[in-house]
Amino acid sequence: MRRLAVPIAAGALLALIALMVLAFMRPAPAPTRAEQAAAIAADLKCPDCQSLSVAQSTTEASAAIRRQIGELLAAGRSPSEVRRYFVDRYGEWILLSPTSPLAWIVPFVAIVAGALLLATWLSVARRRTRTAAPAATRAAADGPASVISEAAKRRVRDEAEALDA
Amino acid sequence: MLPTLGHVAVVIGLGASLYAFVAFVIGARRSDPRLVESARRAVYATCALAAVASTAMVVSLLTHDFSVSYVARNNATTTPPFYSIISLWAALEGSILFWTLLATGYASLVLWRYRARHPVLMAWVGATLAAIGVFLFAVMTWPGNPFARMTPIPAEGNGPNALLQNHPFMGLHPPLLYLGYTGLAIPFAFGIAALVTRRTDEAWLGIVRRWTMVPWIFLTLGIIAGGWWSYEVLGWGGYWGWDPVENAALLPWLTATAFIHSSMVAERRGSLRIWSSVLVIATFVLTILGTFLTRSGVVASVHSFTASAIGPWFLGAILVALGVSLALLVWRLPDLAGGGRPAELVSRDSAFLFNNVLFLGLTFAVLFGTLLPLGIEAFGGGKISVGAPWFNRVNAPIFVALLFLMGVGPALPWGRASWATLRERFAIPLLVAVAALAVAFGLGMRMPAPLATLGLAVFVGGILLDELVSGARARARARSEAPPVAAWRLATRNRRRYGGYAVHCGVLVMAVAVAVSATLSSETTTTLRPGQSVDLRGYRLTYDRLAVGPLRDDPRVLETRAELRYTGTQQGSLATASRQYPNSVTPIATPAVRTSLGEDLYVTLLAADPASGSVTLHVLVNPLVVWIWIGGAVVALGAIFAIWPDRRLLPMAAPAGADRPRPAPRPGTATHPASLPAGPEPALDAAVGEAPPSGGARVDA
Repeated sequence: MRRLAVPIAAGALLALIALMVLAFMRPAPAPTRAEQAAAIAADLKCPDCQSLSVAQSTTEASAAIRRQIGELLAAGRSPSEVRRYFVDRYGEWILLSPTSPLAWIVPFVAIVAGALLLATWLSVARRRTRTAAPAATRAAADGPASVISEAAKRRVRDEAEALDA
Repeated sequence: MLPTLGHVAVVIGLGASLYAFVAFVIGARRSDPRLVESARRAVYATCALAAVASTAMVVSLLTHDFSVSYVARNNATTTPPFYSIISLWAALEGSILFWTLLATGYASLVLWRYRARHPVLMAWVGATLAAIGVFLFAVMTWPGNPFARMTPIPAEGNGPNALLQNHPFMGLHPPLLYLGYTGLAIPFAFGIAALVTRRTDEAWLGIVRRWTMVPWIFLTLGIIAGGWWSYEVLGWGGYWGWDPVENAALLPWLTATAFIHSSMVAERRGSLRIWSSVLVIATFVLTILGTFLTRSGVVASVHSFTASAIGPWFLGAILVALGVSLALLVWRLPDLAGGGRPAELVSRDSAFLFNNVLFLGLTFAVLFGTLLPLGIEAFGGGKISVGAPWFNRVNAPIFVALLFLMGVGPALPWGRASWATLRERFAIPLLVAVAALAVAFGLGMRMPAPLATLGLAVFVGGILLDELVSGARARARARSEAPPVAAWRLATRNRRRYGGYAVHCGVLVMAVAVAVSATLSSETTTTLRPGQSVDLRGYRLTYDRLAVGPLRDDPRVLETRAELRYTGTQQGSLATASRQYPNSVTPIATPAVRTSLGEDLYVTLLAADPASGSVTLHVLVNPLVVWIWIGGAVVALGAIFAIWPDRRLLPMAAPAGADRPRPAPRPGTATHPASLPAGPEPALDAAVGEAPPSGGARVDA
């Protein structure tokens, strides 16, 4: 059962992902004006509260901006034009996400660098201990120990690990 | 009179902590136990003095003594007693007083607990904690005096912050958070003491882990309680907004969590010792940084930097803590480096290491996003905002990766994993997860984020369940116990392991609830006249009437409430209100939340026109939100289970300090700490600190 499970699960997962990709590739219905307005409001900062978007805030100023978004969209402006309108009027801070691509990349660069550093450190440390291991130990490990079958060794190791864990 | 007593207590407290610091340092250097003993007593005294000062403040608040400036600013004659008491942490000076009370309380508890052991280490722990006490009492003596007087004495005070008054939850959320924050000074003190004395052995690691877990539990509960409060009170329908104040609480939580994980590798394999001390030091520095950012008003604008008198003090404290720690680290690097066997790339060890990379990456991302506007403005780049959309998009993939690691890590063996073990442990959970995904997809879930989270959560949950079930089955077979009994005994004899699994289960529940509630909620904003109704996701809300009048508890507060009936999955009536407090410009929303296991109906009053009786409402249906709180409770309970003192456990490693012989294990039972004979060590010691490095009996291989 367990032997077959991995291929089955992997196959099913691939099929499912393919299905999902197909579902996502189907042209989505064009967003309604209300959906566009909600998306813009979620990206604009409420001018007179802490850390809330115009969509979340209950203040007068936010309500006015929401109305204005609706009017601008109704007048035929595109969502990006509406955003630019508010940036021109209030300044860059009205956008809740910074526009500079650097702001988006830096955290991931840091994580990838950290992971690479760790992987390198692990492999270097492993290689060092392997070469540093005295030849006698290695001979002992390769020699008489090979009398014991590979399966038995694995079992001993697994049980030791299980007890250890 | 009473305020003077409070002030005198603060000033004496400063003297006592100064004495404690000097006596600890000299006592440690000269190995003079009498001096160390007197320093320890001085720390107990600072705790008593902080209690006196806090009591003086609380009584001043209860008696509305407006000669104290803090009371005049945060209290009024009409303030109910409960809110008067919790006004202790309503504003800056009072919260520093409360902070000092908790910090000196923790310090006294730890110094008393280990008074008879590790004399040199504990002296340096005491010196570090006393130094922190010096800082806190000094802040209260000079820039942030909570007992500063006011002349002329006003007849009426300003009243507490309207948001603080609006919900009794404010009596719970800040103390929990402070208990977390202040407690993280303990592992920091042990980190510094370890660097000074070159001790990072098992006993040290055990104590530090235990005293990181305690504040970690409080911090977790405090953060979740804050989310709950935000959801129930603020009226925007969410629980987490990536506000700088929220981030400030999250940052030390992330590094403390990283430490809890890395310390397991450090304990088992003897490596990562320096890394562990770096993490506890970073955690503490982040707690001061968080306080600095949120309490000095730096984040709102660079300009309040000079306006706030307390800001520079905290900045100074950060620099001193960082400077001292870095100097000690560099100085001790040669002594602490090395040790331990290196790990294979695919093993539990390396899973823990990559866990640390991700947690620190998350810490970096949150810190980066919080400080970016500040940095850009400081360098003349103009004002920008970094808000929820950025944090969600950047942090979501990191959280998903952590979720994956959370399931894979515990299923991997220490040292090295073979393909057979991987297949053995991952096959069934993977199948179940794929099936769950297919069902969710079939039911019409199309958003990638909740789908991915759900699939991963089922996969990880399956692995955890499989661990428990196969372990319990093996035990039941070996000892002929009933399966539930076997499962319980297995868990209580491996508290750390299975408590950790319970914490992970709680996190899984929270992750699914967050992903679903964030992406699949429905909302509408509508204006209704009496008798009209609105439909949203199976609910029909009918607006009955508007009522405007003073609040019963506090007649100075004017409440505007809209009364509605609703039918749908839940039925009943609700009132959503907005309250006008005399000391608040903007009215405070009081949303109505109707909670069920499947979804919450959430109604906020945005505007009301008393003339026509029409109201503007924001109506949300938020799925699964209650599971965030349930998951949070599971996390806390799991963590408490993990650190629960176990009377049957005995220290296998001799307590450090020490000279007592190890209890000899009976032949054949060496791997079951539960069955070791009772030794001379009091059982509680096994729980606090010197828990055996080996988790004990897992017999499912």
